[in-house]
Amino acid sequence: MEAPVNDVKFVPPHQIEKQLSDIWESLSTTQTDGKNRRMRACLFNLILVTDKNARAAYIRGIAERVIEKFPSRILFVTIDRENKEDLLLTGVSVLNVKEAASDIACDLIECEVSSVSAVRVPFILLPHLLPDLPVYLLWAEDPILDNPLAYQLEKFTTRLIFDSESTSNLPLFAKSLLHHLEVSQCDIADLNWARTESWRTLLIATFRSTKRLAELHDTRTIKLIYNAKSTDFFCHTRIQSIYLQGWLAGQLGWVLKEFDVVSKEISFHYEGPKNQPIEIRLIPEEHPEVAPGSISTFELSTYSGQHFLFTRNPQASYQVTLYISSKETCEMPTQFLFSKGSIGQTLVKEICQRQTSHHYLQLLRFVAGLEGLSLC
Amino acid sequence: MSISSPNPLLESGQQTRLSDPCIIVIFGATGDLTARKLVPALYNLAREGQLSSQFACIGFARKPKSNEDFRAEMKKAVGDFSRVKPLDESFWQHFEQQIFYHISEFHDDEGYSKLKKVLEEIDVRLGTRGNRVFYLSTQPSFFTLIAEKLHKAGLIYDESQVKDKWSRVIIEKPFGHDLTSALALQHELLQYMKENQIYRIDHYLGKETVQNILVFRFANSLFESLWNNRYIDHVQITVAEDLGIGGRGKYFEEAGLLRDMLQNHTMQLLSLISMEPPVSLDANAVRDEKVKVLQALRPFGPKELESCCVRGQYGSGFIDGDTVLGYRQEKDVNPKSCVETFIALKLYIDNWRWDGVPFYLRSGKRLPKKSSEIAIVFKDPPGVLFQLAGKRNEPNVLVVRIQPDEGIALRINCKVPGPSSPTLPVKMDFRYGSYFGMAPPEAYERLILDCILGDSTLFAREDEVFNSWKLLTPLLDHWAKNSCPAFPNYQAGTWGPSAADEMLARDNRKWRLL
Repeated sequence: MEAPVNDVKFVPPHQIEKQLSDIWESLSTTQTDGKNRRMRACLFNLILVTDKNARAAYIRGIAERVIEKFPSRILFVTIDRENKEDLLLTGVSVLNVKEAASDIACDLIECEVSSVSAVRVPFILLPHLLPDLPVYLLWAEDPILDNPLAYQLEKFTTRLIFDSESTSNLPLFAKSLLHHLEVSQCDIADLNWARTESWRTLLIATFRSTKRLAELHDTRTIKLIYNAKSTDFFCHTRIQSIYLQGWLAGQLGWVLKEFDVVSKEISFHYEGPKNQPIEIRLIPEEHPEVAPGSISTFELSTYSGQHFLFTRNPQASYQVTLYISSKETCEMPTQFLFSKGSIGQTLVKEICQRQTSHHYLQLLRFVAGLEGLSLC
Repeated sequence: MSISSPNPLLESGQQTRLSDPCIIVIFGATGDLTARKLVPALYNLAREGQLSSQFACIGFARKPKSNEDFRAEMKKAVGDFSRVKPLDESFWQHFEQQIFYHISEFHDDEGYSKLKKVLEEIDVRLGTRGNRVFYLSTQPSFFTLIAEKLHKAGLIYDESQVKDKWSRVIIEKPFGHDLTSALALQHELLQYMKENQIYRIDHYLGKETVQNILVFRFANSLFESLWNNRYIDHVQITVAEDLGIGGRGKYFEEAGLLRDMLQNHTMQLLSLISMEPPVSLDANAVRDEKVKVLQALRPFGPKELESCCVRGQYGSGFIDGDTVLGYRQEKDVNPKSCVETFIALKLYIDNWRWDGVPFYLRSGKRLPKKSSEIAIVFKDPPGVLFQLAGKRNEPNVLVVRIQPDEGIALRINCKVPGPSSPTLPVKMDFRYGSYFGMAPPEAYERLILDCILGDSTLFAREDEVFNSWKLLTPLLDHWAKNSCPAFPNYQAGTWGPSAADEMLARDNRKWRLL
């Protein structure tokens, strides 16, 4: 099992609740001086399922960031596909909220199984879901792969969260999710979609007025620069850029004519409502100041000569400066702030929606049509 | 008799309940219930000073053993099963001197004659004054026989003749196996005793949270005003067990889940949560109101027998990660058994308060966890505020948790902090254990004490039992007439057959995930 945040106590499944109670009891009674005292909190149940590999630590990091903002009961399932034995290990611990001076902590129930034991996972988790609170399932594996466990867990899930980073075929991923929505009543979300939330909000804010919206409709070219520096567990760095441009094109009614890939740079060629051609280029660069896949620059030019440049501050990547200029004028730069380490906040905002986002659905339909699109 | 006349030593308004000296005789004393529940309950009552010091307990069973053997077995049982641990050794030394064992077959007249002598000797020695509780912890088939023998031996007093001492009989569930047999059993028992001497025990009624239902409803103005069809969408009552039938295959093959749990525990919860306020807390006043609810339950018509009743039987599956057998593979169970281990019902109470409000009941074995609760699901608020993208908020739910983790929870919708306004359901939770800082007394403690005190409020009256059977017997008859369903139809460790989900889905509702 991966290194836990706190010491994991391995216990048989029937001891899980009792052991958690004992831990909380000790935290509330032994810390009489108030130091290290912890307050148990839970807003929802969050189930995370991942294979035992390098990405497990990354998925665990997501859980930690979520609970920074929204303490919840974490049920972390790791599947060891290399292990051919009948492995089933369960453990409990308390996961601390890392924010300074916080005395909030929450339950962490861990379960490691081999492939042959995976069938038992729903039976292990079901008794430990806290009633009356939503159940969110983060399915960190590629939904293209047939996985009966996902369908079992989905039955008691409020919302299913996928991570498109896990797929090697984005169009198939999109088709799989669309099919999922047809056959299931479960709402869905995608981590990469959630990651683009700050940029979407920024574009909405910038082009809110009638004048600005008209300029947006007059788009000629867009250039998106993203951090293509991959890591062991995050290598499909194009996805957020594909999502952002696809969302923008979809909402503005642009029709995709073709796309091409030249030396890792993707160009999408659209036709606007007035039959005007629009080109969007996704340019990979290395920007270590931002997370892999994050968009560092968004540059938009219109037919009438307007120019919008959104660029992150290399010293403080959560700061975005907007420069607006035309042939005649140059406006004072405007600064925007993305929330720091925002995945926890944006993810929760995303999963708290009471339906699958219509915009995301539209994006999925767009992506499903990108046959032949490579992610690497 | 319990002290009820004005006593200058008692302060008015203080609830002091003093129990009479008495002897409790447990029939079937070598059974599980005696070791796990009854003797630990007596030990705790005595230890907490709730019993008179002039008290004794006699175990009545056919297995040969001495007083010492029985005491040693009970000492181990109390050590293992008492809610208060560890065993108080010095107290036990004293307590065990009041425990005895009597060997006899249930049908043996001589055994009862000898019992009478033993009881009289103890009366003299311990001052128990002739007061008796006979606890029938036996197979139901022995109830009438034991009552007859006790009567014949003069151990059940005729209350019209005997005024200075009392005798009471506690009868374990099930009381009959259908309406006809319940009526017959009652008829037989009344030949030997009066109705007010019969205490039909349902241990659910002894649970603190169940007793708290009346306090919660009628001592708070907040909820009672909402307690009707104007605000309540539906009610769900769940009595779930993760255990299978254990070694009770033989019993369960005869009883099935309806008789074992639904007819008694679940129906009691239903009547308490839906009854009108009683005129007083007197036993008959409370039970009158419970009976009215049962009388108002809409009978199943031929259509409802199919559409509003689901039965299930567990197949093999997983509990706590371990593989468990299906019901048909359990010991002493017919491999082709059609006995139900799960039931879900949809009921209506046709009265002013509950008109149109469905009550969904479910009870089962080998469900994912042991959990009993009543959930009051409220209607959606009017208007369209805070209903994003056409989807409604989660409804408010008031949950009375019976076990485990006794308490009351209220689910409300709350704004997620931040500039945007999504809502999330959150839970306000009252837990007995956290608030009062002590384990509530075991149900059997309360009920045995109530019987000694002559308070029958928490025991089922004859008409409660009959009305419950009146509703459910047509269902049993319907099942008997029809062929066996495709059992097993749910996997051990799941929340029952899909047909139960479909029953609620037809009403656009869902079972709660507990």
